[in-house]
Amino acid sequence: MGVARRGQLAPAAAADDVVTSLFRAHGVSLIRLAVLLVGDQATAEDVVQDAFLGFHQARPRLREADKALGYLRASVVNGCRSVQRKRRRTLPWRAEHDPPVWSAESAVIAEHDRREVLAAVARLPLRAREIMALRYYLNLPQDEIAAILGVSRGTVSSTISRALATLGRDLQEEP
Amino acid sequence: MSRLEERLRDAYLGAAGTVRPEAARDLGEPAPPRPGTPARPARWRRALAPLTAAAAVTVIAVLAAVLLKPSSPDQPGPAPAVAPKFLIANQGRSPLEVRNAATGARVATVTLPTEPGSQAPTANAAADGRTYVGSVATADGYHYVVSLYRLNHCRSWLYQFQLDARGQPSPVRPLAAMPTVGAELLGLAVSGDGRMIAYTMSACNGSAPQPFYVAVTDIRTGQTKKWTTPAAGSLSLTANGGMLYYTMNVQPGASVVRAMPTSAPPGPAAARSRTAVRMSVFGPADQVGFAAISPDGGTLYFTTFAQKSFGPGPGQVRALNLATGRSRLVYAPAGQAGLVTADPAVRNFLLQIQQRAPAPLRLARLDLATGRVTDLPSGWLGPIGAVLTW
Repeated sequence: MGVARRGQLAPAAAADDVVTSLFRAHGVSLIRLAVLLVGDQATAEDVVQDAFLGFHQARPRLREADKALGYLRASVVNGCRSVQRKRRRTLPWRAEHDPPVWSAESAVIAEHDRREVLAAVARLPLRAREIMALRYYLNLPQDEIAAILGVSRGTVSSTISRALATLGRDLQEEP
Repeated sequence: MSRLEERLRDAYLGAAGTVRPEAARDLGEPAPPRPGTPARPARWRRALAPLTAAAAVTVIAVLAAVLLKPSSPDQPGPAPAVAPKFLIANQGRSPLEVRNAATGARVATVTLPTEPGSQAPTANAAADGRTYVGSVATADGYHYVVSLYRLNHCRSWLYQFQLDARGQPSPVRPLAAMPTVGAELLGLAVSGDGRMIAYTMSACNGSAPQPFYVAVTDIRTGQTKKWTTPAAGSLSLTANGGMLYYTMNVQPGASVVRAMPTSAPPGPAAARSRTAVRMSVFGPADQVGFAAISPDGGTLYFTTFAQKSFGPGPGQVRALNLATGRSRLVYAPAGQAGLVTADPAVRNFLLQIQQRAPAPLRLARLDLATGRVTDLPSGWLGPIGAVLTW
C-alpha cells in the first residue's frame, strides 16, 4: 500500500500508489455510501472521485495512514451534503441527475419493501440520513461516526434514536 | 436488532448492491487498452494534471455558450427558465394561432395540412368538414406536436413545427413516429427532453365497447406502449419521460390522478399505476380538472372542482408534494377555472376563469410558487375561450 512505516503515510514519491490502493480497497464501498446519500450512481461516482482528488492533494498534510479512510469517508459525506444543498438551490426543472434509486421513477430497486424503507429514509433530515447510512450500511460504531462528522457521540446517539422513531412511525414498526 | 433495523440494513444493502464492483474500476483504473492504443491513466490521475487547463476551458465554454447561444433552438432542450413568450390557440381547426402570451396579440398562424398524411399545408383543415385538430403540446415553448384526426375515418396524424424567437412558425412536417391507424388520438403531452410523447387513444375498429388507451411513443425509436384504461383526461410527463400522470373522472367520488412509470409493461393501466391523489379528500364530490407534474417529478399541480347540479362549480388549484404526500392550496379562483394549461417548466398555470354571466372570460397567469395572479388581456378569447398551449 505504499506505506513507509506503520502508521505513517509514504513520502510523495509513493503518493499515487497509496491513492490507487485505497481506491482499490474502498472505492466501491464509498460509491455505494454516496449512492445511499445522493440517490444516483453518476453523482455518487463524481463525489467519490472528488474525494480522492481532495485526498491526493491533502495527503502531504495527513500524517497517519489509518486516518486516510476516515478522511475519505468524511470527504464523501461532505461531498454528498454539498450535492444535496446544490440541488435544493438548483432550479427545480433543471433535473440533471438521475432519479434516486428508491423513487418510483427508477427501476433499479424492484423490491417494494426496500423502496418503501429507502423512501422513508429519504424523508429524514440530511444529517440523520448521513448518520443512519454510516451506522446501518457501514456498521460503524458511534464513536467513529462522530469523528467522521465532527459531532459528539451524544449527537450521533440521539439522532439515531430520533430517526428510528420517525422511521418506525412511517413504516409502522417498533423502533 | 429490531425488525426495523433489519429492514433498514436490508434496504441499504439492496440499494448499495445496485453499484456493481466494476464501477470502481471504471472510475479509478484504466480500461484494458485496445490493440494499437496506449493505456489510459486512472481517471483521478488524468483529472489532476489538466485541472487548471480544464477549468480554463470550462470558463471559455460557458462564456461561449452564453454569448453564442442561437436565437432559435434547433433541438428540444430543457424547459426555459422563464415562461414562453408565445402561446398557441387551438379552436379545433386550422389555422392555429400564435399569440404573444403577455399581450394576447396575434403574431402568426400555423396552417395545417388539409389532406392529413401529406406534407403540403395547402388549405384549411376544416374545409373538408371532417378533419379536426386534436391537441397541441410542447416541451419547451418552441417545438410543438399537433395531432389531427378525421372524424369517422379511424385515423390520426401527428405533425410538428417550431417557432423562432419572433414566434414565426417553421413549415409543418409529419412526425416520424405515428401510430395513426385504427385510433383517434385525443390528449397529448411531450416530455421536457422532447423524446417521449404521451397521448390518449380511442380505438375505432368497430368493436363495442371501444377500447380506450393511454400510450407513449419514444420519438427516437418509434417504440410505442399502450395501456387500457376506462378513462384518461389530462396527461403530463416528467422531464425525462419516465413517469406519466393522468387524470381519471370515472364516477363521482372516485376522481383521481394516477401515476405510471412509462417503463411499465403494456396491459391494464390500473395494474401498472398507482393513485397519486384522490379528489375525495378535498370534498366528497370533487373532481380533477387538469394536472401537471413538475419536470423533476417532485410536485403535482392540479385543479379541482365540485360537480354541482348546474355543472362544474368553483374549484381550487392545489400542489401535492409527492415526497411527503402533503398538498397545499395554491389558489382558489372566484369563478370556474377551465381550459387550464401549464408552461413547460410548470411554474405557471394559465387559467380561463368564468365568473358570473355576463362578466367576460378572464385570462389569468398563476404563479404556482407564490399563488400570485396576474391578469392578462382576454378580449381575443371570445365568450367561450380557446384551448391554449403554452
